[in-house]
This record gives sequence, structure tokens and C-alpha cells, in this order.
Amino acid sequence: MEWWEVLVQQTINGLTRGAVFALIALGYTMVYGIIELINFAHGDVFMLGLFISLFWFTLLGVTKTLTAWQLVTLLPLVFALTMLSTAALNVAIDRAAYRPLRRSPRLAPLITAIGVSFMLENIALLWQGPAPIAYPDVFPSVDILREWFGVDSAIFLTTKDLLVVGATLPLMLALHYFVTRTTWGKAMRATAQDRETAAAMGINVERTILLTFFLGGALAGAAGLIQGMYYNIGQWWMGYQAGLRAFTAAVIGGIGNMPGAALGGLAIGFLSAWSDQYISARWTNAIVFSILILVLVFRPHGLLGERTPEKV
Amino acid sequence: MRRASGWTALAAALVLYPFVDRALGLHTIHAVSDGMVYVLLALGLNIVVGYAGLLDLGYAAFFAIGAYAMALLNSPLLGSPLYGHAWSFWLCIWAAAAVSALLGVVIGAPTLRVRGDYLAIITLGFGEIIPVAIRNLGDITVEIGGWRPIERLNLTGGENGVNPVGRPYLPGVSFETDPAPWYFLILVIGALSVWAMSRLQDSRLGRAWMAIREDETAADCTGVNPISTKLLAFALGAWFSGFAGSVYAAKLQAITPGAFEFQVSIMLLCMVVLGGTGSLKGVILGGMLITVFDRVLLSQTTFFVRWVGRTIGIPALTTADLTLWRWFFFGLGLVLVMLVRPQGLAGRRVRPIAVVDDVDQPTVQEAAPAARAESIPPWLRERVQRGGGPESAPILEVRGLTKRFGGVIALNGVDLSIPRGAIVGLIGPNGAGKTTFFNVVTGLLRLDGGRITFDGASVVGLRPNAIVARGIARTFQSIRLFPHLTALDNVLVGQHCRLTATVTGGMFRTPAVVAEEARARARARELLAFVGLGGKGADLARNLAYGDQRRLEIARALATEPRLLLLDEPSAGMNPRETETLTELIGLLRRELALSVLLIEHHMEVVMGISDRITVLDYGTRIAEGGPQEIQRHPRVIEAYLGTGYEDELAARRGAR
Amino acid sequence: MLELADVHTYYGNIRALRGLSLAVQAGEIVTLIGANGAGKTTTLRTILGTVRPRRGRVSFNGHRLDTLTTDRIVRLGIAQSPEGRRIFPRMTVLENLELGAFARRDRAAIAPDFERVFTLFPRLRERVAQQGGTLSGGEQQMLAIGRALMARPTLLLLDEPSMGLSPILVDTIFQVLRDINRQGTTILLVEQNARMALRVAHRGYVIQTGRIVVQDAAAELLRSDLVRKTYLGEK
Repeated sequence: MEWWEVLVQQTINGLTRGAVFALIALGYTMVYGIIELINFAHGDVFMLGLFISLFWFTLLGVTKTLTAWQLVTLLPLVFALTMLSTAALNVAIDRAAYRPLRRSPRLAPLITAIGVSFMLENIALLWQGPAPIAYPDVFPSVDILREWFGVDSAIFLTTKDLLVVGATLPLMLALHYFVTRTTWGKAMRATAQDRETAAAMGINVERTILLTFFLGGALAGAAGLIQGMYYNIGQWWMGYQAGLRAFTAAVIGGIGNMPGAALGGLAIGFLSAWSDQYISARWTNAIVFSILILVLVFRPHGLLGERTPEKV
Repeated sequence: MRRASGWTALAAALVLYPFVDRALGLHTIHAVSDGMVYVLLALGLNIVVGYAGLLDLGYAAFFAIGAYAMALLNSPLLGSPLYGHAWSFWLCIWAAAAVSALLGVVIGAPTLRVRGDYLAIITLGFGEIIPVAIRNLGDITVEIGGWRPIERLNLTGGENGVNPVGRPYLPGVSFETDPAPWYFLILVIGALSVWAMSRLQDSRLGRAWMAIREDETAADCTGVNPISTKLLAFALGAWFSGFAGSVYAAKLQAITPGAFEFQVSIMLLCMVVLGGTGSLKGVILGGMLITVFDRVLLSQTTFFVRWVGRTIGIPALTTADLTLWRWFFFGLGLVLVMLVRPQGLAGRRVRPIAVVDDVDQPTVQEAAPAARAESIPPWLRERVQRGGGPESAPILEVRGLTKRFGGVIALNGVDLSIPRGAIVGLIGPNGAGKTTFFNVVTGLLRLDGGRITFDGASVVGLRPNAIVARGIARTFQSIRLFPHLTALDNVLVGQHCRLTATVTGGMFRTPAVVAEEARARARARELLAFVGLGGKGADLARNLAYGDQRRLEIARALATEPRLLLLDEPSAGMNPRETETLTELIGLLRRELALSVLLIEHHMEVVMGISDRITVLDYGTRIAEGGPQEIQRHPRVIEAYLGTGYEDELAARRGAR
Repeated sequence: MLELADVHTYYGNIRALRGLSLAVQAGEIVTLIGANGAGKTTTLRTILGTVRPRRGRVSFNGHRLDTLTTDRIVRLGIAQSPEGRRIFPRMTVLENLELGAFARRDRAAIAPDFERVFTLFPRLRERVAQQGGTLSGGEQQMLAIGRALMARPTLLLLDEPSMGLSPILVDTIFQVLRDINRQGTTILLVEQNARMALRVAHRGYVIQTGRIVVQDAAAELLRSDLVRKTYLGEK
């Protein structure tokens, strides 16, 4: 492969990875924005999204590539079911584990979140076993350049890549619309900016927080489904690594800032793809975490976030 | 004596256990030894999390460094010259501890200015980076163009790890397959470590750690240097993991990077959190419980469940394996402990204790005994009056102080001067900038312009704790005591900057340090008595009544032996009687000690009654300065408080009658 | 309409309100004045449910407020312009106003209320798409009041609306308050600027260390020396 072909390929890889990271990062950033909690278990909700989507596919009898008709009918259904499942899971976690600690020192819910994360991972381990699970090749993979355009290139662009973009973009746009145009979305933003005053507007703060967890969970579920269909593989511990990378993305973009999370997701997607290619996949984790540390120390408010000084 | 008996019982049980095990044929010594290594690690983590309140989620990194330091220094794999001697192990264990401590400083340094949850994530990041580095540094190849300056360099043994590792050598004792010598080795190391930790807990450094944990800003403003204190917590916490890692490596004879993953860090955190952060016995107990749970309970319960399944005839149960649930239970344990006892991790938001309602019982609630001139401790008298510039020069001179927050000008070229031994009041409407002024003078905020001279020397740019050491002490508008420390300990933290005990001094209790501690304690008791908290030294600060807490804050400030005292709304929330006592106390301090005082107050009677001079701020600008009567009639002051044209309005309406 | 009876409110151990009692009748403008730290903002926070009183009653048109959450209290017809304005900084003027109407059931009637606010505060119309955090202090105060008005409250609480504003702006704001009151909104006004407050109010309460020390018709209070003495600590 020519150097520019490698670059293009890695850019495609970066984009597809980044899209998934962006979806997960949005969940982190929304929850942090509203209750200042690093939801450590969020990556595991993503992982369970993959597992749960597999469950729904199996339940609906899907074991091989979907036909065009099924793509239009079943796939959206599985999306909806998966997203609802993970949304409900996220809401349940908040009510059981985080809500009682709303007034506690900030570190307490963080530790709780770690505990929940471990519980979720263990459940997945027991559910599907320690080995990687085979996710059926549900989504048709068609080499676009070769079969649609007749171009013989070393670059590999498939319909799966289109799936990722085609699924993530509408979701992010829908979220953006919800948050900026609807009343409840504005209530969410208001609660994140000033909880006390939001309550004085008649906004039920707890319900708004639940809504935030619902949306974040739904997005994580969608990300899990997309991940499964794209890579055809899943494992019980994948949530931890993906979660930390997505959290890094959220921090880079400016935690609490939603466009920032999307941008950060893309950034980490590209970064990890390029690191895998040009340095070594063995070092990518270390590089991502080094960046996380650097951002937290030198620019904790990220690219798009705002400084918040401590009150004395 | 009661404390000692708990420890002796534990010690006796631990010493006797191997014999019991051998007699009963239990063969658990190996597992128990391994468990003890983890308990020692948890004790090290306890220093960081429990004493200093720094949530370290990547502690396994120190474990790894300790183990690898020992392994690499004491193994033929990389050709270490230290391998093969009788003293190899005993030297390398100290080297490993030192290397771990150094790493502690390296990891701690970036976290110094970062707040709690981000600190946790940063430590987690390091906890991930270290094993990755270890894995990958076993096979380093650097290629630039076609040139390979470094090819297949092996620094750490890589994925395969390091083996063999040199064993300890003691004449007559064989550290081979018999687990007993290992057991006692770990026990001795553990016992010495526990001894060192309990000494540290009770020392000047230990108190500094706890102050940081409770309220870092308040600790800073009481003379504790948060930077050195936090770094010492990381370094010393890591030190013990160096010991633990060394023994682990030598015992196992082989170490691989896989043993130091995130889950290990979390298991250690479980031990600390379960045991009650900060309590040595608690952590040991918690550690033992978790080890027993992990290695014994889960497998035994599995047998039981399978037996039940076979007996009752439920096939699903016969293949159950509860050991696969261990992380689930650890996670659940963390969640439950947090739900039940979230303040086990001290933070600023502490639940308030119910207060005695003095409206119902006006006579029962005693006013605190008034401070009297005779009860002023003589050493305080001497300290305060000693030193400083000429009598006539002001003790604090502020010129043109400016502070901006973004576009807003909070302080606009403020001048203020405090004559030696005077009480100066600082008043002004809401948002005038009074607390900002305090925060700039005490070093919590950086100024944007102007000069601050204390006793002839500039204090601009100094850290808050350095300013305390110079002689300026302060209290806070909303009380910032150390809630989970006793009243006595709160005051002792005040003495921190006047004591000189070092880490080793505190650990080994040299005669000088012992004398210094005794003196500090005596002084703290005298101060408590002076402010009227005589018998309450052992009470937790959070349990004191409101008025007592205010007085305690003043006692703590006095413990720093200040020459200038900054009081931020000391009478807020006090009833008239308490306010009176407070006013007398302040007057006494000035009269008897010639202590200079700068006072922010909203209680106008207090300010007007006690101040020699008053400065009035309005929107960051000084609008008036003078004696109390002057200020009360000053037109600009009246305007600022009551509205422009107030006096005219008043006159007009009266005239119109 | 609104009544506080012997209210004791604590922040942790600190007793901020010591047996405070006051009443506001429908159609009035009542002002609560006093020095800093006297408990003015605490009184409003107690009414709104941000803090719960440990003793005493707060009632509004027959409903007990001290057992309700803030969002329920607001739905009974109370709105506030808080101390420091507390505009949502990263939302536009329009969005801030929309949020003011969040709790309303009569969605159809909301649109004309925007007009009403813009008529009272023409400057807001000019800045309708601007982010709240970029407005000047005076504009933010107008927005805060406008936002409260969007709730069509029966009782409007105002906490130090004059803070940080030039005298001209203060005059404008207080003129608007008079207009709003004439149009039927009852107002409880907390102010440090005693003069402006007493000029616009019908009655006044003076609060000191958590309890009411003087109450009278506003005109009377303006004539007496008592207020100044209370503020400036003269005996």
C-alpha cells in the first residue's frame, strides 16, 4: 500500500472508531455535566449494549446476514429494543446506586460507580463466558470501491463503514435537536448550568437527571449494537477500555460540553487508529492515557469547556 | 492498655497460626502468606487514601514497581551484579522500596493541583500505563529510516516476566518450598510496617495528612504545606508497597505484568474502604476478611451449593462456581459500603449534627466561660509580642490592591493600613469584595496589582502556608474546621508550622521530638482553656455546638502564633450572649497580647463597638476610612448601605410633615 | 396571601432565621430590608423550599409550603428573580424566558406573555438571540424579572434587584415593578437599598439577625431614623 492509501485507510478507521467513541462520550459528558459524576460504569453499559443486542437478534431469529427487507424492518426494531434496554439499565443504576449519594462528598459516588462497573462486568462474564463471543455477520459487508465503483484499490471501504456513519450521525443530530429545541432538553441544559434556579423554574431536578441517564444509556446501547455489527466480536472486559478511551474523549472536548464530546470522540478515534498503525497497538493504551493525564493536569476544561474556579 | 491488648491478641494469633495449621493439617500457610502481602499493600494504600484522603485508583503500579525492582536487581535475567550474594535480598528490598517511593513522587506530582475525582482518574491512568510499559519494554526496537540504533532491547522481561528471582538468605533458614519461613518473614515486615505507620499517624506529619484530607484549603491557611504533605503521602504509601512487592517477587520466584492490573488496585481499595479509611486495625481486619472471602469462602460455598444441588436435585446448582462471582461481590461490597457509610471518605460536605435549641432552654445553655487575662498562656504572650519592625510602623500595609475576575473588577486599588496592636474593621454591602480582600492577603488568590507589606516585608506571591508561617492567621466565614478530628487535634494542626519534627524523627520518636510534641500538646490544651473549651479537647469538631466551633477556629488560628489575625464574620449565627463573649475575647487579645486584628463583620454593633478604625468597601473600592462615629455619619457610607439620596429623602419627608 | 409564622431556619448548625413572622396581602408590594447577613435571602429561600425550616409554618393561599419541593411550590404561582440574577449563562434570552414558563399548563397563553415582557423591557427584544452570560448586569436583571413574569405568578419574589446597577437603571426597574403590581401581581421585595425599596413598597419589614425588628407602612419607615440605626449599628 502506498503511504497515502494507508493514511486514507487509517482515516476511515479513525472515523468509524471515533463515531462509536463519540456516542459513548456523550453519555459521560451529559451525566458529568448534570451531577458532576464520572460514571465509571458507563463503558460497561456500552458492552452490555452489544450483548443485549445479540440477545434481541437471537430472539428475533436473526443468525445470518439480514436481507434488504429485514434491514429496513428488523434492524430499526433491534436498535430501538437495545437502546431501550440499556436506557432502562442506566436509569436503574442511577436510582439504586447514585441517587442516594447526591449530597455526599464527590468521591463516594465515584467509588460506587467502580463497584457497579465490576458487577456489570462479572454479570457479562457469567452470561457469555470469558472467551470472545461471535457476533453473527448481521450487516452485509460490501466492498464499495470495488463492487459499486469498480475501483481496484488497496483501500477498504465497506457498507459497514457507511452503517457506522449512517447510524451515529442521525443519533447525534437527534440528540442535538432534543437538547437545543425541546422543552425537556432545555430543562436538562438548565439543570446542568444552575440546579437551584432550574428548580425555581418548576423543573423537577431528579426527573431531569433520570432523563439524562436514560439518553446516555440509550446512546451507549446504540454504540454497542454498532460495534457488534461492525467488528463481529465482543468480550466481557471491552467496556473498561472503551469506557476509558471515551472518557478521555469527553475530557478532551471539555467535560459537560456535548459538541465537545463528539469532537473528542473523533479525536480519540483518529488518535488510536494512527497510533495502532504508526507506532504499535501495544502502546496505544499508554498513549491515550498519557493524553488523558496531560489534559486533566494542564487543561482540565478541555477544548470547548469553561473554567470553573473553586469558591472559597 | 486497652489499645495494646487488641494488638497483642492479634500478634499472638498470627504467630501461633502456622503451628495450628501444621497441627490441623490445613495447608493454608501459602495462601495466608499471599494474603498478608495484599494486606500490607492495603496498609500502604491506607496512607494515601485513608490518612491523606487522596483516592488512588492505580496503586497496583507501585506494587508492580516494587516487585520489578526487586526482580530486576536480584535476578540473573538481565545480569544484575547484585544477584547471588547472601545480602542480595536484604539490600534489594530497601532499594525496591526507595524506587517505589520515587515513583510515588513522580505519580503524585501531576495530581497536586487537581481535585479529587480527577486525581483518582490520573492515578488510574498511571496504573494502566505502567503495566503497558512493563509489557512492552521487554522488546524495544527503535527504527529511524533504515537505521536501528536499538534492537530488541530487554528492560523488563516483557510479557514473559522475570524469573528466577533471588531468595532471601538467613543462616539456618531455608527459603524454599516450606511456607513457614516466608510466612514469618512477611509477618515481621508487616509488623514493622504497622509499627511505622502507627507512629506516623500520631505524628506531626500524620496530623498534616488528616488536615489535608478534611479540608485542604483550610489546612493550607493553617500553615500546612499541601504540596510536600501530599507528596510525602504518595512516597511513603508507595514505600511499603515496595516491601510488599519485593517479598512477593522473591516468594513467587517469577513475576509477570499480568499480576498488576486494575482489579488488584480495586481489591486493595475494597480492603481500605471496608476497614474504615484511616484505621490500621480496620484495614488489617478488612484485608483479612476479603482475603478469606476471596480464597476460602467462595470456594467453600461453591462446594456447599453444589452439594445442595445434588441433594435437592437442581441441576443448575451442581455446576455452580461461585469463585467466578468474586468481582461481582467486590463491586457489590463497594456499593454497599458507600451507600451505608458515604462519609467514610471525608470531604467538605459533612452531615450536620442536631443542635440544641436554645430558644426553649435559655437558662440551661451555659454561656462559655469568658476568657480572662490570667488564662492567656505565657508562651503565647511572648511569641506574639516578639519580633517585627518598629512600634510605629503599621503591621500590615496594603497599597493599590487590585483583583480582577475575568472582566469584573473585584478590588479596585484598595488601600488599607493596620497599625500595630489595633483592631480594624472591614465593612461594606454585599459583594463589596471583603472576603476577596482576605483571600488575596492570605495568598489564596493572586493579586493583579498593588503591594502587600507585612511587618516590613512583602508577602505577595507567597503560598498561604508560608504566609501563616510569617505570622498572619485567619478564620473563615463559614466555619472550616477539620470535622473528623478532635478539638485538640484541630488546634495541634495550628502548631504545625511552628514544629520542626521530621518524618524520621516522628517515626523513631527521638527525645527532641517527644519533648516538642509534649510541649505542643500542653500549649494546645492551654489555648482550648483560654477560649473556653477547656474540657472538650477530645470531642470531635463536628459534634461541638456552633458557638464552640467558632471559638475552636480562633484557638486554631492562635496556635499558629500569629501577629495579625484576620477574622471573617466571627459572630455570624451567634446569639447576643455569645456575640458579647466573642467581642470580649477579641478585645482581650488586643489588650493583653497587642495582637493586631482585621475584622470583617456584618454585625454593626460588634464592629462599631470594638474597632479602632474602620474601612468601608463598596464594589471593590474604598469609599471611607475612619473611626466608628465618623463612619456611621459618613454620607457615602449611608448611601452605599441604604441607597443613594437616603438622607435627603429622609430630610425631605420629615420636612414635609 | 403569603404568611410566615415563627419560622426557624438552620444552615447546618447556624440558625439563620429566629422566629421570623411576616405576611403579604394580595395586591401589595411588601419589602423586606435589612443589613447583610440578616437573613433576607434565607427568608426567600425558605419560602421557595430551597431550605426547609426546622420550625414554623409557611403558607400560601392556604397551602403549606414548608413541606413541598421547590418545583411544586413554584407551580402554585410563585416565581422569583434571585439574588445575583442567576441567568442561565449558556442559553439565549429567549430560552431563558421560555424556561420561565416551564411550569405553566396553559401553553397557548404563553406567546402573548413574551410580548408583555418585551414591552416592559424593550432592550431584551433587541438581544433576544444573545446568550445570557454575555448580557450586562442591568440587562440580566431585566431578563431575570422577565423570566419570572413568564410564569404569570400571583406572587413575585425579588432578591436584591438593584445590586450592581446604576441609579438610572434602578429607577427603571422599580418603575416596572410598580407597573407589574398595578397589573395585578403581588410582590415581595428583598432589598439592601432601603430607600428605593421603601419608596416603591406599601409596607416594609426590617430584619436583623434573623428576626423582624420593625414593621410599618413604608412611608413611615422612610421618615424614621430607626432603619438607618439598624443598618449602621447605632444604639
